[in-house]
Amino acid sequence: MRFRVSHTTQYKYSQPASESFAELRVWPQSNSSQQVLERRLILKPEVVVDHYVDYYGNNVEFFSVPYRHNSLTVTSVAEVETTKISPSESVLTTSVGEARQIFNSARYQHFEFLQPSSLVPLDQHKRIRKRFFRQAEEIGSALLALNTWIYKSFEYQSGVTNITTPISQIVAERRGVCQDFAHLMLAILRSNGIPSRYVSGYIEAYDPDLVDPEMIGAAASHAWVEVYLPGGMWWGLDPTNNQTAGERHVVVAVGRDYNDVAPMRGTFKGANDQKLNVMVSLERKKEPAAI
Amino acid sequence: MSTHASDIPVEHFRDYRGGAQDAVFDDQTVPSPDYAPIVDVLQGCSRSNLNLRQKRLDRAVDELGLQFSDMGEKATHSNPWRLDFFPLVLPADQWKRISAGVVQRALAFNAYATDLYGPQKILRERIVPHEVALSDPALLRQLSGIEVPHGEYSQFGAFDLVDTGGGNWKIVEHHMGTPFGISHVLQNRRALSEAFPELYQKVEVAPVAGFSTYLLEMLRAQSNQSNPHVLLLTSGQTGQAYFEEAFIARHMGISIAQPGDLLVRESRVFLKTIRGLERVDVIYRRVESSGLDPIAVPNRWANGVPGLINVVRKGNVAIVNAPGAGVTDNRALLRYSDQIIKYYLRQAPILKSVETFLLSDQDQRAHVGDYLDDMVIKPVQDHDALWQKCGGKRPNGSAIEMERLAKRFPNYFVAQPSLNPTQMPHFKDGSFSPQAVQLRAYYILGAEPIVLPGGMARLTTATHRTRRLTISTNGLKDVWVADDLVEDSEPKRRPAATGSRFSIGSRVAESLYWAGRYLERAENTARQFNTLEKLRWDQMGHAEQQTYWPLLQSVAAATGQTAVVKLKTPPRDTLKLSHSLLLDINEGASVFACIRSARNGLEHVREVISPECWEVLEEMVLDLRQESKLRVTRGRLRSLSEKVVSEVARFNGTAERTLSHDDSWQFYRAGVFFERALGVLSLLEVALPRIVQTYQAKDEESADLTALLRLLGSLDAYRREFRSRAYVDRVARLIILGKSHPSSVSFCLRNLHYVIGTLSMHGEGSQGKEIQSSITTLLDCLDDFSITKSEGSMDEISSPGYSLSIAPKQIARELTTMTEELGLLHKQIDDVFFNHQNMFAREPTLFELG
Repeated sequence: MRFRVSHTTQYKYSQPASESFAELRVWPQSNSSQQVLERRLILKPEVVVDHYVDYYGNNVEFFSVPYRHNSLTVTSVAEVETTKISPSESVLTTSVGEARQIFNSARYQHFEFLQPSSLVPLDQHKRIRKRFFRQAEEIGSALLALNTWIYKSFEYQSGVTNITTPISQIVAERRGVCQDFAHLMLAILRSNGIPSRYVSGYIEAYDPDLVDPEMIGAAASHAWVEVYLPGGMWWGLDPTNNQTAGERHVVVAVGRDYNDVAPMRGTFKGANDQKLNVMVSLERKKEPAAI
Repeated sequence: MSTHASDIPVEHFRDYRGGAQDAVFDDQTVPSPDYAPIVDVLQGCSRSNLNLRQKRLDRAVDELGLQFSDMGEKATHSNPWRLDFFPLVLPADQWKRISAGVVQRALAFNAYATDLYGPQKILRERIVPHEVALSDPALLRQLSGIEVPHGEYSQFGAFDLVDTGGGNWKIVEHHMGTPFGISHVLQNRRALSEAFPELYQKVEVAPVAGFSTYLLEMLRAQSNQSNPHVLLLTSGQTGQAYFEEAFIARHMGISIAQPGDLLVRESRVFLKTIRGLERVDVIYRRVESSGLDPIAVPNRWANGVPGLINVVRKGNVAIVNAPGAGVTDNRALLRYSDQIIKYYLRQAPILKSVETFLLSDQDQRAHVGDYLDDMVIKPVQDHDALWQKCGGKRPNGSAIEMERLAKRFPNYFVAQPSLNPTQMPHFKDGSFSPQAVQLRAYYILGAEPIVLPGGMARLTTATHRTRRLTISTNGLKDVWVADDLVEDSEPKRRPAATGSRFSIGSRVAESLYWAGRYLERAENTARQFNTLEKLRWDQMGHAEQQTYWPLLQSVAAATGQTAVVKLKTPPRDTLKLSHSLLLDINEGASVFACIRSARNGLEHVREVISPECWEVLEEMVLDLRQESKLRVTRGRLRSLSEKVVSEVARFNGTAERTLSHDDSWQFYRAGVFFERALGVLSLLEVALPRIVQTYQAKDEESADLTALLRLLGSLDAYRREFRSRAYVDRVARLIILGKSHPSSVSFCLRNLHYVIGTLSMHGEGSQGKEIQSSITTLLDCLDDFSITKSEGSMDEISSPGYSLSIAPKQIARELTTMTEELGLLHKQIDDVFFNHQNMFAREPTLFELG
């Protein structure tokens, strides 16, 4: 599928701000399941933008606005072509025990995706952790069971949590947003010795061709999880929507947790009561007819 | 046997029992040849002479220590810095091995850092277990892929070594990230050679003082600019670390910046200076890598310079040591140091590490458990990030707490056996006793690596210190290397021709400006208070008090106590008011508060303040703190105010004599003149209209006019100028317009004008001109004052019953306007020199052509 993605972040300051600096991770990546056909970044005020590729392969852009300004608007526009790639049946039917052995033999390669991080502490909630991934189970169905369990046990409710809300509180209150579910899932996976990473991106909310339940996570950045499967594929799982990540998911950045992929991180000088406005849109484009 | 006739030799070492492991007296009677000259000199001194030398030495380091003792809560500060006069001597063979081994190890571990942030071959080949390297809290993924020139992550570093017997030195710890203590090395040498010059007469000891020059040359060599802008980046916390930073910066002649002084713009980093933004080429970093850039490495406090890491990534600034260098200090790696040296350099290791056990490993942990009493437990790193992973709090450093944490988080701890290293004599309380010492050896890499011929020796301690940028300063020793062992290395770079100098930082300028203002304000208040006290307020009748009340009010008003201005009659007891004027620390403009503010402001710019000035200021604060705790009496307040006046004068005199008269000095003076003008105006604003209201030229001296002249230190000037008794318009003219009278508003403004004109400003220089023209406008206003313009003839103004035709309200209005204008001038100074909006306020303005 082909999408035109637009992601706008706008800060309005009550007092003029100065010495703004920001780093952006809003450039969709090209990988085996998606191709970025076109990409633009529009800044207001207009300043020079520089860029680099970080350790996890994400495209990072950065800029500074040293002089006084009353607002800052960042718009990232991209055209992305997605394809659905599914893991082979033989991979998904590998037993958990076997998969663990494979992971253990390559612990070095996935070291950071097995470690605790500041937002994904491990070895908490033993009862939950032990409920999943018994040795004899098939890895594919065990992963889907975890995905479904989070979807069914937790209520999606925005505004009750923020990025600093610890997982323990999510577990206690059984509610949160996509970031919280992704972090929780990573904690359970990594505690079970399964390499996994955090994904930020976008999701198409409505299927224009079908009468379909609305998917959660639109109108803002979305977050889900990728699991490393025996054989070398990263498989996307979206516990917020009880789905595997497919053609309607657009990947922007990956990392250990939210801190590695924050769409915009910056500082400025001025009064601390800025208004933030984020708008995300995903528009499905007609694909050029094959000749 | 030779004896000195005048001094009977004492067998200082007769009862000394160094044991088999003693570096000096291994056979108990005759000193080893390397120490013979020292023992000789000491034997030639009487016991009382040695005591005297030690006292001299203590006094010398106390004076130095004054600069880094934390003011803290204790009124009596104790300086823990003690220097022992018996030096550690490194014999030729030991020195050669140490210097070669130090360079070898530094090169190998730099190669390790380069590998770790790059391909990680050593982990892939399983020479070092990947868990050891990858779970290091100092490893910052964000720094991967940044190219470090020549792979020299640590260009300036140090190692701690102990002599495990017979000169077999082994490495205990690395300090490759941010080496601490070089200031102590240089100062210990100076203090000892001054207190005990005889020690240095028989041996040619290699000098250490040149090391800071090499350091500067290394820093300058990081940039290919002809005159690179080098600065030292500090976290700004005071204490031992800052003392050292101020010392190094002063020695190298570079400026010190805090993160807030730097600004990233279009992938370059700039220092905010009084003439705008100046590009920075090289940063000598004294801030942990994780605290450099809150965007690259998010931290709870948002410390650092946002965007700095990207400037490094683009190669637009060199940072020494490179961000991420801390991975070379990982104590778990000490177990693999031989392998690391062999792997990267293909050489046999020259210096071994002491045995180090990883508590992450089950077998090693069990072993440590069996011999726990003989082990020192240490974290793998001293970084804050590690403590965050281990419960969030930095432990107090006790062995028990370290053990407790190590049990809970074994992956982050190692253990080393408590060593019984070689001992040597230590002089204390009149005799020598054997003590174990460890050595810190410093290196600078580059085309020709240098190892400091000497170092820092100190008593070994049984527990681990968790703060990297401090040392236990008890029992330091000078370290000697014979001069002929040291090859002179060519400077890496010739000092560049001077000429284009760098501007002083805005924060420095601002601190000095405010110090000038605060001290001037404190002095004014103290002097005015003292003047009023001399009139013996407490012995006045009611009518007399009523006369002087406006003056006391005006003094109070000038220090911001506006509530007092509204009182029509004086309170019965003015003691409370007096006390709050002088000593109330919560009263923002009290004398004590002002002096403390000046001190706190200057504490962060110590690199431009002479030690002499600092001492005067420090004494003043200590004195005032002491006074504020005592019972208040009039007599005490009176003598206190006198003391403050004379101490501020002493500070100004000392500053005049010992500070370099550059831009920073001019900002101090700008603050003084500005504050004085403001103080005079605020005093007049309250006092003058009231005096005019009741003014009548009388035969006898007008008491309140004379008092006003006294308050402003202007009575003598008036007499000299007019040779008459006080008439109100003459008094006003002198105080406002007096050409050569240092207390006049005009004098202060003209000097301010001059001071601004002396600032070395080019490029953005027009901004200083704007301030100067504002001052000129103010000076013109002074001439237009109604009271200074009304020039009555002598007959008129002295005739009985003469009163001014100007309404007191108009005088008040003019003075208020003037005070406000002065406030605007301050804003202008602030905008131009300190917060830089002028330079950036050039947003393009759009317009359309009709």
